[in-house]
Amino acid sequence: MENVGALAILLAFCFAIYAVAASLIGKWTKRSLLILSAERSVYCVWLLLTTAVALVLYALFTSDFRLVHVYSNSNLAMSSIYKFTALWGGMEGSLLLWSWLLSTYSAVVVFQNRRKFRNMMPYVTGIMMTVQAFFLTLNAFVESPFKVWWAGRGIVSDIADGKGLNPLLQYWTMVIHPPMLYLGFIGFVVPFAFAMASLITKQPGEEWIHTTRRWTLVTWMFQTTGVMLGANWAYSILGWGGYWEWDPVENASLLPWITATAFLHSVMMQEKKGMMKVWNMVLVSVTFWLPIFGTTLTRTGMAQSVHAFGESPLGPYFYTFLAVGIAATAWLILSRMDYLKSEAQLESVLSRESSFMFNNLILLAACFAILWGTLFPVITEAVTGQKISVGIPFFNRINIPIALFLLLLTGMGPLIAWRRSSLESLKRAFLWPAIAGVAVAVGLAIAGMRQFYPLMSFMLCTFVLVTVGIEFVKGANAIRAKSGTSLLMSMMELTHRNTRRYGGYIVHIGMVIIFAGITGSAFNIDQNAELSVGQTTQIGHYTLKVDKVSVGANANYRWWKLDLGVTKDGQDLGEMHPERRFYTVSQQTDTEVAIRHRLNEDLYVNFRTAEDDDQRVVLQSHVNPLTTWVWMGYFVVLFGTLICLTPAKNRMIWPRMEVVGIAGKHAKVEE
Amino acid sequence: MNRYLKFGLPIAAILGTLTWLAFSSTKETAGYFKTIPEVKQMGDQAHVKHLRVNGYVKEGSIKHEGSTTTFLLVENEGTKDVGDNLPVVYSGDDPLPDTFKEHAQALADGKLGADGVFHATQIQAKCASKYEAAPPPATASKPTTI
Repeated sequence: MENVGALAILLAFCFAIYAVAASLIGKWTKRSLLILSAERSVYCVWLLLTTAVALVLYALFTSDFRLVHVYSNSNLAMSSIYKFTALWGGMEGSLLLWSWLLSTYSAVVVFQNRRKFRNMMPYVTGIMMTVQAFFLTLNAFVESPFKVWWAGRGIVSDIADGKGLNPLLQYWTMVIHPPMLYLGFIGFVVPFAFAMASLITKQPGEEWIHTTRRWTLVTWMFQTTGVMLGANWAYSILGWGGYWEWDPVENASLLPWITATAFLHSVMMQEKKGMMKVWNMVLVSVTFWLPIFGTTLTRTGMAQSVHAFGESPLGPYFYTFLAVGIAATAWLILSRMDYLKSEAQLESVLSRESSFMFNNLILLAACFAILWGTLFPVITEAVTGQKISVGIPFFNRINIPIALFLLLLTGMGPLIAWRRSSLESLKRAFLWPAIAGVAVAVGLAIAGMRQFYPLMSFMLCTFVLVTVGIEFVKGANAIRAKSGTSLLMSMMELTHRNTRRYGGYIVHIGMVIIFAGITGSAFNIDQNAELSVGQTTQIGHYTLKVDKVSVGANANYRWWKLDLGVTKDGQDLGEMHPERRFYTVSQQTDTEVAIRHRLNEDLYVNFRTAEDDDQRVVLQSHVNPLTTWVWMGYFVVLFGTLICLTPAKNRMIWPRMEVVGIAGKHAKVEE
Repeated sequence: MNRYLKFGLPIAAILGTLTWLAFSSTKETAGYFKTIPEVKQMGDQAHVKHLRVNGYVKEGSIKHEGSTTTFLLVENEGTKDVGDNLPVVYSGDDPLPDTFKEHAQALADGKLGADGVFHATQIQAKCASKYEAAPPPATASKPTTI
């Protein structure tokens, strides 16, 4: 079986190489049958990799411990859902998943465009399959998931049990976090391949942006989901009471998200005004290369991380791929500068164009600062020979002002007119939102909030919400005046008419909710207490009483469970049950945090240790205001993104204003 | 106003502020990665700078007294040379991580005290890597690809 799997990967590697060669040679010698055969071999790669994935899964479910991957990531007593996730528990498996998802994307793209873009498609296929071939090199020759244990000439087949999946990974968000993140990371290969293909074939227009808009949005959605699931996992599992600590692995997942967000905004400049063409090429390339760079960073031991990834022999492969790939991308963009000339110029600081520019500037600054902080030990070691790291405060101090400025732009950008805006119109648009924002800030200050950043944050959040709210109400009222339907119905109609615009607004609302939730962390309370059974401790408004410690075991782990009576200002809130587990096979301790989620604040209790025959416990408790908003905000973002993806009722095509002139502002062409 | 100046000024202001923030917070939060022998050679500097020392927790050296934990950090697991031992005392607010136990790889954050004891404000610990393939207990064997 392992032979079939290894063979499938090897064949997939050959087919990928063939696809690259056939599509390029077919294109250059104008042989359409050769190109067709390249496209067919993309499907073959997918079929072969699907076989390989299925075989690994089969090995995991049948506990075939002869395979190193199965032995290292699963054990007999593990429940089947985690046997499934053990597929991406180790390096070999996660690389295989990466390859498989990439082949899936490639197959879908080739199928969708089998009759379209005949000029560009051979290059698109070529680029995607080049990336595929790189990952298949790793799958086939470096980190094969079908490695077996052997002694002398025979395979070792008498292994009783595996080491088990890291208990930290045995949690539901971890089940979907890696695939989501990978879907988001790998997905950018599609816009990237189209962008590069359009450069190679010297396409004059923005064809690649229109065709890949949906891909970009979908992959951005996956990235957002992946990052948020990661944060949620850290919060629910790691037990330190927060969801983000600027760890290199977290940063590596956030960086491409930031550039992707910048890209989503700056493509609008190219679509509507024909500006920022070079910039968009750079952004799409950076967004594609950053995840691969991030993988290099975290998986080759380049950056120190609390996430335990072992030293691996992958380094040289990744460095080579990155160096060659980035050099080729840069060369291609530089050699096609003539085709990327801007069609318009920035005119006024108070214009939509300039707000997009500042949005990009600030996002890229954030990206650079995070990258700098993450790489600081590497940089200082290279320059001075002394490894120096920066702490969490570094990231916070830079990113908080950036986030506030972004919030301001989120409110202002969409309402500022293209080209130039008068102070008078700004006053009209922003007077009430500004008043509302200031009112909230003053109100909070009177209520006793004194920190500068949180006050600013809540003020700006209000500002954005009111701005967006007014947009919805204004638009809906215009519809209502004609049709006479209710406000809610008119809003839905409004959104349906221009899903991109109003979906975008909803995404902005979601981001505001997330930002408000993050701001809540400025008011976190932490407390540690050592308690005997029967004793109580106080945190915030809550009183925690240790009622009982119970102990038990099952096949997978031993457990200690706490019955913790919770009261708030004397009112009984029932019990919480934080738990500790000791996984027998992996010899690792793990904590099951108890969290009481409420809209205003979370009560978060972590059961640290039990001592004195389980009669004394150490409790680490946190009160985290507004944390739930972070997760709620995510769902709003998701909803908004889905709306953006829905086709609008009226397909409107705005002619370029530069071409049509002032009248073009209102010229709509309905189909 | 000149177009370049009009855009250049706000851009310069934003980037300037951020650079200043980056520079000042780098200085404040910098932690110097050192090995145990390096710490011993630093002299007085070791008492001033914020250090991050990597090593292994020596077998049988962990002692808990109230909320204070002391242990010996060694350069590598086979260390016999006493000079490569670094006594560490930790009395931080946060309980030690689950992964902190004998033989674990640990990273201690803090400063070297005048008494030669390292006063840690934070301890991170890492188990032996998940992905390092250790042979199964029953048989001494080597992984390979068929």
